[in-house]
Amino acid sequence: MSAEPEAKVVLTRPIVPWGRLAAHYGLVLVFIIVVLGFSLARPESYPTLVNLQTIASTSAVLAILALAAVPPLVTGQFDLSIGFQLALAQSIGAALIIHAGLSPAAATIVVLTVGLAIGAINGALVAYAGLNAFITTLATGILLQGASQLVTNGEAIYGRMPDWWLAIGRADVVNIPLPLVYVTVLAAALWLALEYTTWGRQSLAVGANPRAAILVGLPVKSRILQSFIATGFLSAVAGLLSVCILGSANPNVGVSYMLPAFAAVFLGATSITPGRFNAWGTVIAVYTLAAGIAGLQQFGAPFFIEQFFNGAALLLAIALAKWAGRHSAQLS
Amino acid sequence: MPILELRKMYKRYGGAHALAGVDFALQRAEVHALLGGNGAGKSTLIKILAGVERADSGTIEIHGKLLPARHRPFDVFQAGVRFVHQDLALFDELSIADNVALETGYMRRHCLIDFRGTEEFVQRKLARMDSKLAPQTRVGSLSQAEKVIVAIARVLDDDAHIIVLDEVTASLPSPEATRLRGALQAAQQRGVSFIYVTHRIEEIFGLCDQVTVLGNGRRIATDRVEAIDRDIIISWIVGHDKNVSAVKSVEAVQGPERLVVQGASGGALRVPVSFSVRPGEIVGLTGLIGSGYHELSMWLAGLSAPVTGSLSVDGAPVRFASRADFENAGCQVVIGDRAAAAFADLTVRENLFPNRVLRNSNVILPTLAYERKTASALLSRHNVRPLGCADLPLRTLSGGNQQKLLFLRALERRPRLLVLVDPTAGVDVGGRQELYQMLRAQAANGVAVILASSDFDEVAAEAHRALVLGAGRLQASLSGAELTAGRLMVEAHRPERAQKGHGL
Repeated sequence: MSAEPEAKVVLTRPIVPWGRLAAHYGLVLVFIIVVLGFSLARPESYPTLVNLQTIASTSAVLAILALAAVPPLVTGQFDLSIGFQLALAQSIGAALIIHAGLSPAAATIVVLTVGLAIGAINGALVAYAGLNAFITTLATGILLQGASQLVTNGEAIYGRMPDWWLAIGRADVVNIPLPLVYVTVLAAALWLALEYTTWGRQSLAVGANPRAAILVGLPVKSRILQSFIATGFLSAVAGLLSVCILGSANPNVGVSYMLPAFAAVFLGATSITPGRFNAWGTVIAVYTLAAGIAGLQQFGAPFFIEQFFNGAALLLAIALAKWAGRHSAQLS
Repeated sequence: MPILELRKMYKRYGGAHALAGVDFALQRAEVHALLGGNGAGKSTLIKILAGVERADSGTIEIHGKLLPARHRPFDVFQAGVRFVHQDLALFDELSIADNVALETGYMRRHCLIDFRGTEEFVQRKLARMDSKLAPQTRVGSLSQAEKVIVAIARVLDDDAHIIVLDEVTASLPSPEATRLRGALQAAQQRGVSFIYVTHRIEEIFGLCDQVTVLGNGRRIATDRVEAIDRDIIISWIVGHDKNVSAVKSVEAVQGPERLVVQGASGGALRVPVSFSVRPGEIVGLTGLIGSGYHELSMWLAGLSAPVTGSLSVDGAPVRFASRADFENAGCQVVIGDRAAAAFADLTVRENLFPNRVLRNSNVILPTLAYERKTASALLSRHNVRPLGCADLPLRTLSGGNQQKLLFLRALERRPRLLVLVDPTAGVDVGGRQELYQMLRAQAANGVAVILASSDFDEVAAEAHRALVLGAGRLQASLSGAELTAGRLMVEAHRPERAQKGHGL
């Protein structure tokens, strides 16, 4: 298409828009290639129900946390504290159930309330006090890590939890692990909220150009605040799910969750709606990375392959997106 | 013999002549003003000289040597021509020495930067302009004239013979102009010539030796500044065709006042301004840069607040600087500064409806089909190009089409009052006509319109009544046969209470 001399891109559109399809669904294709490739290379161990279920459920917490990172990015902000929010939710959840003997239902209410409150504080500091989001959430993230260590006394928490509670994270319906169902539901909800509701449209506009958003009379500050509250909620959900799956808590997991979550969000922004942070792209990115890492580990790759794979994939993706962007810019 | 001579320069953009055979000659060691309004051809001529635009025909000779027909910026540099542009490209946070050395290179000693050597080098450069500024001074603390001097010193190397100053003094108060004058004279004595591009008539007296006036892509006159005065220049720029007023239908103007502004003052606007606009009326608002016209238009757009004054729409008070109040009162704004008004990375459809998702209330399923259909119908009705652009990012559209979309965004919300601030900035002639038609249609439907524009032709052609700001006050309110581009220019240039003659 780059050979078109005129700017009439739309008028001379090919019957099958391969370029457009590749730009929007390239990551889906990569996911399919990764799964098929490892299935062919390791037919006895990779395409098994157990392996696929393991990939689906162990990455679910990461996927929900990655979704949590999306709303502030949409409004043009950044929440660096997501990993620490997850760690605190995990710590409080486990401590209330195991140490305090609270019912998991009550613990859930407490954890979600704390999550919403943290989001509200982050959002208020950024939107209303006008502080820089990156630095603010770095600071609150460090505070949250301290709070997690306070709750757990700095140690991992183990102990008995009700079976029904653990089943929430470990059971499956028709062979589909429940965590994957949660991820799908939350991603669908976030997608609908961002693309099909007035709230989402306004949030997108606020992130795309805050000055223009003010000009058309949008409630810029309140949309920013709400985006951080959504993050607080989703991070708390991710933390609670991790308690169900693991049956334990570790106050120091924050950083190890944060980096791959952001890698997935940025990778996901190159797909589905390219150049825009989006829910489905994020989830596909999480599972593409997880499927690749699981496959490499079956070939005996060492544990640190995960970091190399995540980092390299992200660099490659943004380089391709930049190249594709320049390519399409030449058309118009 | 002139050291720079441009002969028979022609340049067309689409159907319009930007330059229609312009001749221009610059003598050694003179300051030559290049004067003209918007669209006169000044910036096209300078861009062609700089080698960033190509002329359709014409020749450029420097020191008697013909430049190659398709010359590049480097050819012009080698011929000793330097450019200082409007924004000066200075770093306020850095010292004068750093600002100069970032361009020319630092002095070195044992591979490391020799700061003292660099400062001495910069001091020598400044001395060429008779400037005693200390190289350590932070540029942010300098006055506008001093900044211009630094920007000139930066490009003034041994090979520089011609320096083009492109609208560098957008807001230069008189005492500062005198200081700049001294600096230019010092450089002149070393044989350097200046082309001084400006649209401000007052500036050239006392600063320039020679003046060439351009209008509609032609050279209107060249003369010695000593031999003429302000009125002669205005008569050149105005010509005779600019004194014809446009015929407008004013039957639409009806009913009680929609917008009432009382006693608004602040910023450059020192004397409070009061006026009103009725439904169906297009009121122009104009003035030179620094006249207060820009501040007033920002107040009316709901983006900032004056020091004093009040505003009401249909009798109900509206708070300044509250976009929410303005929205509730039915005021929509279209501004030409698209960086501040458009969502470049969002789609055309999302730009039309940035505040809500359009839904057909009978459909429960989440779908954008209704919004797509509505947007497509609107876009094709108003001929927004390219066809079927509803889901393309806005930035892929041409400037004129983007601006049309911002119009549609405002109109789609059924405004009672429409405030337009330089709404046709960067829009080509054809696109402008389409925008004007939309504007007239709105007024005919009973919308009250404020057209704030620095383009006198635009205001004269479209407004029923025009308010001219100048010297910190409301200079004139013109309508009917009085409302011509020429008269607007005369009023806008009217010097401060006339006691100072040329104002410098």
